[in-house]
Amino acid sequence: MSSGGPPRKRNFKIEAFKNRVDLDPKYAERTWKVLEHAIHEIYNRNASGLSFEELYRSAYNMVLHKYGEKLYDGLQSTMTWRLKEISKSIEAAQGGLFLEELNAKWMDHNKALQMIRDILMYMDRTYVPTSHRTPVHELGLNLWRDHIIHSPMIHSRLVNTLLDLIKRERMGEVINRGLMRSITKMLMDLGPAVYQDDFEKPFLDVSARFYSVESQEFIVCCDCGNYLKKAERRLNEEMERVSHYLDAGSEAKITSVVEKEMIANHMHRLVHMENSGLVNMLVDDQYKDLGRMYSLFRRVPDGLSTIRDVMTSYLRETGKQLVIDPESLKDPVEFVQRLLNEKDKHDKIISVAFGNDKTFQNALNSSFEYFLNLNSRSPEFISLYVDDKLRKGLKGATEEDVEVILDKVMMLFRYLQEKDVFEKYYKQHLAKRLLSSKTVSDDAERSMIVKLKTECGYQFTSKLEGMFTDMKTSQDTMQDFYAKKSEELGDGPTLDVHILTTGSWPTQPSPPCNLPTEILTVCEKFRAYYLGTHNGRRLTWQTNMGTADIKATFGKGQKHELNVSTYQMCVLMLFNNADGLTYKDIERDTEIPASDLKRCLQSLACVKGKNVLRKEPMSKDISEDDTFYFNDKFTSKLVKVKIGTVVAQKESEPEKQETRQRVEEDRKPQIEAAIVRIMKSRRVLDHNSIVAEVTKQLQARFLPNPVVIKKRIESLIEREFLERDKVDRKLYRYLA
Amino acid sequence: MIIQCDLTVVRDPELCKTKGGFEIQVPPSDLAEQFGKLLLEEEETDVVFSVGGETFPAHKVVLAARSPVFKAQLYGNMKEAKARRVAVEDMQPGVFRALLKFIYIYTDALPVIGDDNICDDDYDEIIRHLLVAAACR
Repeated sequence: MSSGGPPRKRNFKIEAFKNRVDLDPKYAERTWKVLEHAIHEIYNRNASGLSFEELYRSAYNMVLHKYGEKLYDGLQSTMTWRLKEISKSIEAAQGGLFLEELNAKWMDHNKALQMIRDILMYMDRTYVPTSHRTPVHELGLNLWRDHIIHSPMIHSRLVNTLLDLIKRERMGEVINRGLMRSITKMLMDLGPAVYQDDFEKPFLDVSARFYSVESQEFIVCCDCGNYLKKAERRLNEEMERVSHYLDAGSEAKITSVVEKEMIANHMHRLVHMENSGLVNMLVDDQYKDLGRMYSLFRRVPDGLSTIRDVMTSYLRETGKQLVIDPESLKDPVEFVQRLLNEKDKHDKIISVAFGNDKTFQNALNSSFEYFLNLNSRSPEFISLYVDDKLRKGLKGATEEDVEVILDKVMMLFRYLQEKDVFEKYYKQHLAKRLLSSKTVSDDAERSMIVKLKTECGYQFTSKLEGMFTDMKTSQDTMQDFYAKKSEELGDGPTLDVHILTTGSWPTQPSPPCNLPTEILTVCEKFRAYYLGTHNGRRLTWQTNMGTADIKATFGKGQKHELNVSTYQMCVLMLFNNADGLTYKDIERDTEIPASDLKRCLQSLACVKGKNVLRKEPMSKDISEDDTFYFNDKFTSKLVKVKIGTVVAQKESEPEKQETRQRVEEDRKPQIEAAIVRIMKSRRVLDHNSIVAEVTKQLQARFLPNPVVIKKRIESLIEREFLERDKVDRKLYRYLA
Repeated sequence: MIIQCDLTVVRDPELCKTKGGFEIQVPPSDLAEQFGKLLLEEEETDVVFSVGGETFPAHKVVLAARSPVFKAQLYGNMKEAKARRVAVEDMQPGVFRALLKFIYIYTDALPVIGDDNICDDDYDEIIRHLLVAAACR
């Protein structure tokens, strides 16, 4: 593109320009003087009078004519000289003005450096790379570092001033944070190593000493909760300080110092502090303090494990006291309720204060498992607790409430190591509830069965479910019986029979007693009916488990309806024909076993307000020399009078031993079955492996005793299921 | 016994895809031509370079964008930053004109020798200056 002007002649100018190119020995010196002067003017803040074009061209020409080294060296010496002058003025700054002067000079230096780099741009692009010198900007920073920051007069004063200001801020004073930020940024700009070596390291060292001293003071005058508050505040302050005026990389380092000095070094003293330590926090549900301890201790090695260990020790000791306290053993329901409350309490602590930490949940679980199994009666007591809830405790409760309580009980159940013992007791208690119609709801009962099945499998609950099936079948059978036989039965007493499958129910062999004639008649009719529709069946009456409703008329004509046990009914019916009977008379006529009879008579004659019989001599206990009379003077405000048998809510010691014995007997076939299953699949196995495998298979129900396993193996060898290896006595072989 | 079957049929969605083909046609860039026109017609200039007796009106922002040297000169802290007239010494007007063309138009080709009747001796100098300008970018 042409501007359109006429062509112009320029040949006469060529010679004039070429003369400039000739090397003039003084050219370089003159040019450098121009540039040097300009550098000084830049530092003197008089750049506005300089010509960029002239300066750039001068530097360009020097490099072009091979004077790059002179230019570079001149720059370095000039800047060095300027920085030494700057150093003096910074050193001369008084007191608090020191940092301000340093910062102001640093900003001036940066501005100057920018301009100098611009006019020497060509040198930076060409001479510096080829000569391997330091680029201009970096050179300026290095010179500042060497002559200002590392100046002996400035360096220690700078570090001490910074640290002193930080110390004052820690003491609550307000300092110039913006200035601090500028200084630390300067150190970072000079290179991370400068910041780290010249500030961060001394900062961390001084901080460690500061917090070491402070923590010593705090630990003496503060309780645990307050100490942790202070430690937390200090941590937050240090993090805030970093965000305000330190390099972000310092945060992890300074928090590590605080953590070590204030937490790690005093961890054990804190948790064990008298009246305010971890145990006190746990006892008093101090969620905030516990949460703070958790979040602080988590920051140090072994912090959480320290808390966990103390909590575990406390839990085990507390739980142990709870389960072995003779006082708490008196009431099984109270016993279990306290355990559930303890579990709720610590579950809440773990969720609110410990962030649902899995390791703490595991510690809680292992602690409960530890102490719950210290008391061999725990399985029985848990069953009794469920019995209490399902009899009356859950009456009127919503379905949701039922589920919550049963779920909590299941948590305790999971801790049991002898779940088969629980099953034995649960079966007994369930039987009583079902047979006496004393259950709040079928749904609740079935819900419990479902939970047990989920936990331990079908085998565990199959018999329990069989019990429910029997109840249903019995109901249907009785309906059918009365529908078909109503004419034959006439006005006799009404009979309600529960047909119990042998093996499903915890029945005991019961010698038959003599039923009253009226009852006997209708029983025989039922027997004939039932056996007529079920071939091959055998009916055995369990008279020790029944109840009866009797209408009675007393001396002055007062009428009452008595609710009594079957045995009590047999006794009372005798008095229709006699006014007085001796103990021996009654025993002979009813054939009720002595222990049952005594308990039965005690309920009828010795309980105030329920004594429908009178006995001579008057005393609290039954003896075989007693004589009993119908109590004509019996009165009661209620028309319906329930006379309960004096039954122990807990098993007596002999009964407990008997239950234990039956549990042990039941375990033998289970252990043998496990051994046979294992050997059938392995064919050859050594003794220790068998013990380990059997334990593993059965621990869902109970922990097998290795000695018992050994005996079972011996028994199987005798019966030729197994044999010993001829060479290795510890090896067993499976025999087909 | 009652057997209940719930049958669910899953078929492809019946939405029709939108037909394509409505792309907007963007005309080819004529940025160099427009900037060349800007330089040639000397509109809205904010700086005048005085080189060897000739004047060259120009736009600071264009020069600054294209050359760090010009950026430092025109937007720095020295006197040119506030001046409307900048003197350039030690350079021939023809060379400076070629430099401006290079900055505004930016073609990979170097200026044609025939322009402005620059003689052969000046050609090497033109090359050197242009390379300097490019190297400082």
